[in-house]
Amino acid sequence: MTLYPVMFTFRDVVSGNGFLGGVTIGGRALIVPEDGAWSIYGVRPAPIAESGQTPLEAFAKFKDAYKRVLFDLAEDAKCFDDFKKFAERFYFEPDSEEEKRWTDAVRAIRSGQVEIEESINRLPKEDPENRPAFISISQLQEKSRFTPTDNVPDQFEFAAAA
Amino acid sequence: MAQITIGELEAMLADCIPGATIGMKTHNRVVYHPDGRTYPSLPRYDNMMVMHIRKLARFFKIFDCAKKHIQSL
Repeated sequence: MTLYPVMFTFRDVVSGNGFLGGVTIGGRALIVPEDGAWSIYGVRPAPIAESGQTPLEAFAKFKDAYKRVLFDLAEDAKCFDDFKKFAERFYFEPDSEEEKRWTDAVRAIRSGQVEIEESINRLPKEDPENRPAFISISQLQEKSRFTPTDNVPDQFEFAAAA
Repeated sequence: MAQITIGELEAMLADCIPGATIGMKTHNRVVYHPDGRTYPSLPRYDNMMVMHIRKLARFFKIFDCAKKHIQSL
């Protein structure tokens, strides 16, 4: 079974109890063809999984699952600082086994010995060194200036040297 | 893909993570490990696809125990 390492960037606005939070993440996941479908397993953030009939469908459902977690965290948070703390804890919750699978998958892809499925091979490719994992959370209602450069489209990339 | 019932999940957790609890949020079902870790993204449905439990089992490092209860893992 081939594991495909992918990277993604999401920027979302989350409404909470008296605050508006902006959450941007650069994340990692593994896409796996299994059980007649495509599963996607979070690496960072780790505690999420989804599946779909295609890699892109699995990714879309993964994005939705991620947002639903943020919405629950916003509901639990009494204030922005709580939300920030909860979201960072969720993002940084470690899964060493999944991180190792991701690193091993990157190494296997780089070795050139893995036959890559066409639907994965069509994804944009990026070197993981150029896409560090990160999370950034800001309180939007306190920003005094908004510009179009604040916008970040969802990105989904195959972790391979371009 | 195989489906797992909430009853199967509860039975597995009772054996593999004694003291674990399951909570219902507005958008997800949440599993609380007694050591403080949280798995926040299980579906609210009473039947869930096996890959959700596969991930949860890896996340909490209980895969071998979980597999004894849920063979399709």
